[in-house]
Amino acid sequence: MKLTFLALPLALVAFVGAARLTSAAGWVAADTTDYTFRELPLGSMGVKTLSELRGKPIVIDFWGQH
Amino acid sequence: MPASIKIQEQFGDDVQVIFVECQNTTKDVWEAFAWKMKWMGNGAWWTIERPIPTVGQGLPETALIGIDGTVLMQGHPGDFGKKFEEAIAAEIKKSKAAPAGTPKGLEGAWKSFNKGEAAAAIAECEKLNSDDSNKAKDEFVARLTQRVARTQWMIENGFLSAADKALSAVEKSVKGNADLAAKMAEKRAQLASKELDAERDADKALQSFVGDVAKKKPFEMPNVKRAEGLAEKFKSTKTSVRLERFVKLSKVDLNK
Repeated sequence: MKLTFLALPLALVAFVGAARLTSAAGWVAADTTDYTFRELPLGSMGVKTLSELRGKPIVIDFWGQH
Repeated sequence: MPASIKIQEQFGDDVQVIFVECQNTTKDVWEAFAWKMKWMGNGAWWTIERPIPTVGQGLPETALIGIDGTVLMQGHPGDFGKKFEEAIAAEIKKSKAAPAGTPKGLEGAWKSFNKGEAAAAIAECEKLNSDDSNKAKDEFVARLTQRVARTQWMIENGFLSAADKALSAVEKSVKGNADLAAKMAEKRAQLASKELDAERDADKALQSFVGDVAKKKPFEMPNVKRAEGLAEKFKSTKTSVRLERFVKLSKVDLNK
């Protein structure tokens, strides 16, 4: 009984979360984000946080050589 | 060529591409690899830090963050097709307009500001003199101050061509506003100081060098020799350190 009581809201939260985050095409939309780089990215000309880019779209490309 | 390089080159300063290396390769190797692949020299950023978590099972993965900082799309680039570029173009269009929720009377001021006419935008806010217009004015001044702070970093670190370009844009934008124009004049004097002559020449030479080699074969011997020569010529400048770095990268074994 106790388990059912807990499992139902948890399942509902998981369902709503998944619906919000993943579209039919597998794209994911998330919440507003911010990040402060520990080390200045190469080419950033002294800009250390994503919030300093607010007002400009940002493309993040996760890549690897192999 | 990764689509993101094309995006950076196509949309220029209206968009910021950030490449995040995810395979724990050493910095020397991935930086040399990017040069070798002719991906450098276009304003993109390079890092190993993930500003947002990845969501997929493997690489490549791309994300688009909108002008308000919200992640709009994220996943395998092959899943997006044209929609990714269309979404970027839509965000750029939004970035030129007033932010959502701006009171009607202030839309003109925002439009002026986003067009690069900050003095006119500030004058309009002062004319309106309301709580909302004062808030908008504060926001404009804060953004300009941030841009000026960035030029200071560029000057201190030897990126004088970039500082000149950024400063010129702000100068043009604040023309007609005595307070801000005076601050710009101060910064312009700093940038033009005699002490920076060697650094200015060095950076100009480096920019010209990058423009010449980035899209060809950067690490071919004549290019490396040219970089070595420039590093020697402008020894003891900050730019010479960047030139020496290029020479070092040209010798990196990419298979390590």
